[in-house]
Amino acid sequence: MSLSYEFQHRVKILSGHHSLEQLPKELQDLGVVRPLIISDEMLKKIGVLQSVLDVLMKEGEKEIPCFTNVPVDSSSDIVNEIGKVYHKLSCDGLIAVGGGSVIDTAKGVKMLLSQEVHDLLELVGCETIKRGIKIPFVVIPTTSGTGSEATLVAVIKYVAKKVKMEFISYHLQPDVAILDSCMTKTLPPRITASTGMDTLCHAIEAYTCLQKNPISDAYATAAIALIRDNLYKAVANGNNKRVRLAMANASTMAGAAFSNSMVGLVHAIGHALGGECHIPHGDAMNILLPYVMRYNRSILDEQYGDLLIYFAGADVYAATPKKERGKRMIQEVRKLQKRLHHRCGLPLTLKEIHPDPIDFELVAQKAMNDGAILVNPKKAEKDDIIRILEAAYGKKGGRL
Amino acid sequence: MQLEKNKTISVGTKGIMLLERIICKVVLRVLQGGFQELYHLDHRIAEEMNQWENNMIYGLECPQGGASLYLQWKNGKLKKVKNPPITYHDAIIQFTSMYMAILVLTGQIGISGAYALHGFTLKGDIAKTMSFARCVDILESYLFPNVITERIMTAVPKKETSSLLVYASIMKNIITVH
Repeated sequence: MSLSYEFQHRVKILSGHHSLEQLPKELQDLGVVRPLIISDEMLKKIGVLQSVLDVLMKEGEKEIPCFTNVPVDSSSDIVNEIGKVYHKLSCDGLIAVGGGSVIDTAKGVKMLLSQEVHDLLELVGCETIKRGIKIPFVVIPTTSGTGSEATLVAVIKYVAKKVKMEFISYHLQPDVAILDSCMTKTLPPRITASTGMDTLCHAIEAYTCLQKNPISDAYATAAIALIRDNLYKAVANGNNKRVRLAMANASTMAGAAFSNSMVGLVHAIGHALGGECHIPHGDAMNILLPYVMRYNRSILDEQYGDLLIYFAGADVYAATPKKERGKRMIQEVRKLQKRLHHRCGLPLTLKEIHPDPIDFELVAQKAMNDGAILVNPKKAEKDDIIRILEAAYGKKGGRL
Repeated sequence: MQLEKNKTISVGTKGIMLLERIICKVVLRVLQGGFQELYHLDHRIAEEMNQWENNMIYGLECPQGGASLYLQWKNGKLKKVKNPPITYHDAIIQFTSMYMAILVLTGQIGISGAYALHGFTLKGDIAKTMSFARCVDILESYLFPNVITERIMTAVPKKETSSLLVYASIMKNIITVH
């Protein structure tokens, strides 16, 4: 492990069964009087957005502008539109209530406003965005999750040019993230499982990537322990507030971990599958994880072995011979996947969610051009990625 | 209270800065030659460059008074350009400090190592930059001996020709191309 690293996690986190009640006070501290809430239609429909509005209106009934037209994938058109609304209504802060797409959209709006640009394309890149104008920004995640409330990344589709823009900057992180168990209570079991496995993937990749460091390791292993104890329970009983809150914490911690130590091959291939075949991010991460772990095992066997104690517990760890622990870790991941598959139909192969043939060559080429591949500890060539995809698809003879 | 206003850098630091600037200038010139010559000597470099967008500029900038290198891919040829107008189509890598620039340019860390250490910022599309990063890895496999490349890369690309030939071509490039 290198002791030359950078680590930043500037987000104030409020976690608890009623942490949402603190929202007015946090806005006051940030000097926000007229926030613009960004959310989506589904959350408005099921009443999650109303919970947030109710808390804000405890300070006195007032008009609170809400933009709920955020699509499944964040888009530059929507970001520009929200930017205009923000200025038109003289807002002085942003609140994002939603999952990864909503949070990424809100990050895009923050960028547009703080950097005073007319075109987001001017800001595309890695760590070139300066602090700019202060735009108070609060995130209330409703999935557990992408960990977007803790990350320095935003991915936004530039509609006119049909490209996905990736922005990386510490200045994208929100000021406050509120983790309240009531925000994820209505998440269906299948989505709970898929987003939970996404969180696991973040934590495992953060622990094993080239820029792993002692602080991100602490976040990652803590997240894995929480997932071990709570993910299946959250899928089995979504009304269990304690496990919902635990998963929200796991998601934020895994987000903080990978934000500072980066992710690797699972994400490189997953992003490519999302772009080419529109496979949901969480499903792609879940399906690819054990296959990429098998591929990486020749380099990462020891690190996977280290994670066994966090993922399977002390008893399993102690009972497994040291040289078997890496392999056992992958088996335990697979075991959890199968339990979740039986419980809620979480897919185990790409074929289950994408029965039409996938152009593996094209996906592999896109994965090769994903920045995440640069920090995967084991170099992956196009043929290696194709083999991983074939195995993940469930192709006969597709083995690693 | 007396406020000390130092207007000058210490002599030692000045000397180091001068040396670093010279190293950057020399290595960037070698890189320019390397990219231009390896297009003809290594089919992987040709394959990567042939996929680059026409008129695309890749840049490497060393801060704190250091040199910069801008290479434009135009009509099938890679040319050095001076102070080009940069747009979002291009990809400009700026090292975050001269120290980081020296680490990369002298083969003490690779591109992936520099990325992991936040050693550079990137203005432009990350996806387009990956092709450039692969070319840099291939070029470094010729320029540096195995004892260095095995330490700085997760896997060293195999050479398609001899390093001696590459060095000779780069020397010729430095003398004849401007």
